[in-house]
Amino acid sequence: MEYPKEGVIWPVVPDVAKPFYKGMQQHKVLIQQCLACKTFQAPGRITCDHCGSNQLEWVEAKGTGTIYSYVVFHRSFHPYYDDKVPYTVALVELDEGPRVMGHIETNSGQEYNVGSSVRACYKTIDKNELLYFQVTDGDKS
Amino acid sequence: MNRNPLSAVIGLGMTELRRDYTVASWQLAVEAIGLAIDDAGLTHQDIDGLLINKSPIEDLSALPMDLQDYAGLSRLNLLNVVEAEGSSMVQTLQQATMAIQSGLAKKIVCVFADTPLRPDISAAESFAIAMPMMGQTGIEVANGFYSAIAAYAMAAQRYLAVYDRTTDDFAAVAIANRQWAMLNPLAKIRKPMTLEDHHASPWLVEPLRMLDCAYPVNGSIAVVVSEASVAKDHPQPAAYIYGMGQGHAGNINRRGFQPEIETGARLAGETAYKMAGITASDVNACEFYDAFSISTLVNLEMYGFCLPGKAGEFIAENGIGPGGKLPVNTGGGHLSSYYMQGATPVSEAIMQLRNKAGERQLSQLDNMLVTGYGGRMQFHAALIMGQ
Repeated sequence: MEYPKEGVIWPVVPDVAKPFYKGMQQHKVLIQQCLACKTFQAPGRITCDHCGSNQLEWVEAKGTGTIYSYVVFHRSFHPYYDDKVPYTVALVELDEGPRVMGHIETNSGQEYNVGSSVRACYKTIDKNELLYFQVTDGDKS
Repeated sequence: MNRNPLSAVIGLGMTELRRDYTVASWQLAVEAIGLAIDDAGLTHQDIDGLLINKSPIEDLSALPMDLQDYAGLSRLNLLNVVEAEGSSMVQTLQQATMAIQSGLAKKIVCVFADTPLRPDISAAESFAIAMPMMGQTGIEVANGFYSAIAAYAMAAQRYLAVYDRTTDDFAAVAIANRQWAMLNPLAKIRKPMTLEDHHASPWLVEPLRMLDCAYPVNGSIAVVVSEASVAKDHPQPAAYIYGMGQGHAGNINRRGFQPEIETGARLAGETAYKMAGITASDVNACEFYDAFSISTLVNLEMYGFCLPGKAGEFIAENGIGPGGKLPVNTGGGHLSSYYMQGATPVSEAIMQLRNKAGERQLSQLDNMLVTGYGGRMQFHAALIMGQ
């Protein structure tokens, strides 16, 4: 059971996910890849969900992907977010395949939807760097 | 229909379902257990099994193994706290049935109790958990991804985008639930609901509105499961179990998989239908676990009543409310009757199968599909029940 507590907005990071968090500190999106079947895995696994191998290695993702789904919080469930609603949290499908979670932010109020292109960015929360995603639909490349 | 039931529910006990706190969950459970045993025409001495469904939002101490002693049960051949999140209550009936089939026990109480509304905490706070969407990372907390609503909103948005639907499909579910609730004196919200009411309902976590969410209560529900062969010797009409299944498809969180909207319910249904010797087209009515409106759409699809993405059209064409071709959640479901997790669909099924559902009574009940799911819709259990 995990109730939000005032002032606590950073999780106790499980050992298996520590490389992912360390990656965020260095502004890298780290995912895992199965050495046996090469399937990319979402971070924090110890078994390949395709072939069952436990030989996974951490690799850096490009940091680009598309919005798989997203939600908009209109209600705050934690005091930290009381003045931040509405805010958007998405599952982003990285180009490599795995999906990771992050806030969605736009430069100038671009519209976005499921399928919109995004790229990884980082913001500082207390002393931690947190991955979020900027919508790149409509950006000049 | 000439077929052999696997087991029978012969007792049902329900405490008052309240929107305020009175006593702890274990005390409510003791009351419901006593009511169920009385209802079955049994005494405490007759009970030889106890299967406990603790609420996932409560600590183990809220409904511990010691419930045996609190309830005065001292001749048990079977005792377990069944932990399968929201699918637990249906799983307790499955485990009871397996115990009966194997001869391990003969008269088994299955009980659920929960007190999300407390003097110091609201129901919204009770359910403001951070549900894992990304596996073992805790990243949900860092992203403020709190509440079960958020996890289901993520499924809901994916559903709307992939199938090009609108939130009016969610409204169709909520309105049908409400129409049933208006016929159910036990239901907590019974005023009429229109599409306009749904449109006006505030977003909590978009695309889910307040009217898309379950209505929490404090209370407890218990049943007594027995060998089917002696079910007629008990005072209440038996609710028989003919088939059961589970489906747990995992959370494969990468391209090619959509665990939010393609769930293990498909496997649970296929297994249960096969065991009962039926197909989805033989099902007369469904009692789904439906904590959020989106889940009824996904359940209709995964349990084989229509193709993925077609539940909205299915509801419009066939009807799932009173008078509809496929009655669904005939007491008002979680949205409008009472959120007793998996005990809500189980209790409504028993009332229907006993022909004691009053104004909302269904006429033909050869096969009812009774389901539970847990987590972010990844754990599924199903029963085929009948008269």
